Amino acid sequence: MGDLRIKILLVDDHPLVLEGIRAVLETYSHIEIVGAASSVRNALDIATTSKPDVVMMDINMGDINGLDAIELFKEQHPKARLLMLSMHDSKEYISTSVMYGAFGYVLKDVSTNEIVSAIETVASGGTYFSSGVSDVLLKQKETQKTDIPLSTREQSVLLLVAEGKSSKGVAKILSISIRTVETHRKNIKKKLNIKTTAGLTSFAIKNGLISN
Amino acid sequence: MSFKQQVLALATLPLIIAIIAITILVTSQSRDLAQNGISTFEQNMLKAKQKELINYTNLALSSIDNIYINATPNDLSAQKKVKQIISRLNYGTDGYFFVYDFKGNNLVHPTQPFRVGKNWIDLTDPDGDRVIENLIEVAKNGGGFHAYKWEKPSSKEVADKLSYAVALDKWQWMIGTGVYIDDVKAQTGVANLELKSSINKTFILIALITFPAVILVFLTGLLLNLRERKMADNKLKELTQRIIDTQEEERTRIARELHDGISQNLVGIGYVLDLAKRKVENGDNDAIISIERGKENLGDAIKEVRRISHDLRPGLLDDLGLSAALKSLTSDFSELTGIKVKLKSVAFKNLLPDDAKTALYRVAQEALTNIERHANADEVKINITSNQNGLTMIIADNGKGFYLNSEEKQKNAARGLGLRNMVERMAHFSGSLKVKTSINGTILTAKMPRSIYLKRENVLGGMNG
Repeated sequence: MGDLRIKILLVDDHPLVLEGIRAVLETYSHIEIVGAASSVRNALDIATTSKPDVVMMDINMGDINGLDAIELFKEQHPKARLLMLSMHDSKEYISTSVMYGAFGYVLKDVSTNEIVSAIETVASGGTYFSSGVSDVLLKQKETQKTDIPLSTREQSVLLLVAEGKSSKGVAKILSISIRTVETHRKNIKKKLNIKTTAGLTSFAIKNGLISN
Repeated sequence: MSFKQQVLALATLPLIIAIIAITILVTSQSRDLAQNGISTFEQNMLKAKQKELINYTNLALSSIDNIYINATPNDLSAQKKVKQIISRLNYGTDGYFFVYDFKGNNLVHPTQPFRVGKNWIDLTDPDGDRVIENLIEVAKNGGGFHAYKWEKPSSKEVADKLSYAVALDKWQWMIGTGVYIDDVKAQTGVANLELKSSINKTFILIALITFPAVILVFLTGLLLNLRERKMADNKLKELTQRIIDTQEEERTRIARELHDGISQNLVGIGYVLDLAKRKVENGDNDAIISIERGKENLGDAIKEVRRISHDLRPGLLDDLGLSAALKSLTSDFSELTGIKVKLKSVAFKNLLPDDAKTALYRVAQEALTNIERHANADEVKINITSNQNGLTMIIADNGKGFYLNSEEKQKNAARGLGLRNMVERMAHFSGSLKVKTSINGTILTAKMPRSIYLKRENVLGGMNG
């Protein structure tokens, strides 16, 4: 099997859940558990050395918001595919996860088989949403295309840009690459439908993101 | 100074000041009036005396007229006759005539005979007035009055005297008579004393009226204050009791849901797993069916827990922010009630501290509950905006509105509590909550100042744990 095994990193701050999933997944021979972390920081560290194909992460983490964690993983480990595991079936969680760049969203109380097929789908480049979730998401996408909120990182970038920082300055403050900053700026402009940096600044002031 | 004291001071101080002002005004005016009266009286008295003196003098002059006109300048017998007539001309108790020649020699003085024949030109009264010289002076100038002090014949005491003197030029004589005006002075003095005592009386009278009035105002204020406080106390007690009741109801509900729902569910799962265990022990092949059923029931229990937890506090609020939590709240609300909700919100999140987010969320929740129960609306618009002044959340429905009169409040205590709750929640953040209602719907505006926004570092630090 060797190369075909899916390398997975489990992230959950509930030890019982972590142990349970691990025990179940270990019974599947095509899945290789390369690590189990109980915090996002720990997970980011483990991912550096073990290079997982899939990161299956609880959306409620103690140290860093699970959604923000998606952005961090995308910045630091762009090759790892995020599969969110959650107790929440609200469409806001699901749609936000997708917006932040998750490849899948699975409810914690589905069968192990479904979790495994989600892992398989995400690993092979597809997206997977729990049976109940996908309907919710489709409806969501149709109705709310216009009102897309900024991600946490995008908001931070906007704040710093509005303060007059250069992309280089923003990159330094947020400890991310200049290229990532540029990407965020492009996305922010697209989401807010603003074309210039001056426009971004005035938007941030007008809406009270920064005080003048 | 406490608020209570301020109110009391505010009520009594103007009263006291007004009374003092009126007292001063009344006394000064009555004093002026009385003094005017007294001085007019004094002047009238003096005028009467002066007229009297002129009349007496004219009488005296006419009684000697006959002799004088026909006499020569050195007619000693005529002069003697005149002296005799004049020395007899007494009137009243202290009325008499005196005669001096222009050099100051006394010729006639019926009450002080020792003066006759002697020169008195250097005589001065106790005030230093050169009496005789001055009298001669006014006489020479055509006749006139002179005031000085002189011994009163009836009492033998020196008293104020006003005399009228005329000249008999042919003989170089001065003839005069005077009245004692100490009685006039005494009368005005009495009047002045009376005035003083009447002013004192006025003072006492005003004080007698003022003091009870001030005390009355003070006591009334105190009474009102006590009543107000008692009412506020009662209201507070009522409110606290209602909050406790609500809390207790909520706890009862959750306990029931946990016990009747999840607990029973879990017990059921326990039995099913027991059964599965026994089946495995007995070597039955259908243990898997029991396990599947247990798993199914467990799924239900998890769903139930999720629902209760979400009802208690939506995790969305913490994880995704206010906008997302409201999106979820409103879509659930629409699904449940059929009332359309249009939500428009700022693109930002994590600008508000957790407690502020919670407050706004609860206000929106309460508002939606009210709309569902009372408004009879079919559309709600929620609009959240942020600017340099802070955050504004407007919740507008197209229902029938409502009126917050006391009757309504009484009838619908819970609703009054709800509104009050919202107001207090906003007030806690130095914000405000205003409700505008009409037959075309209700508009609720909640505001929070920008000062409560998170600091820049906290907004940026969101991803650093």
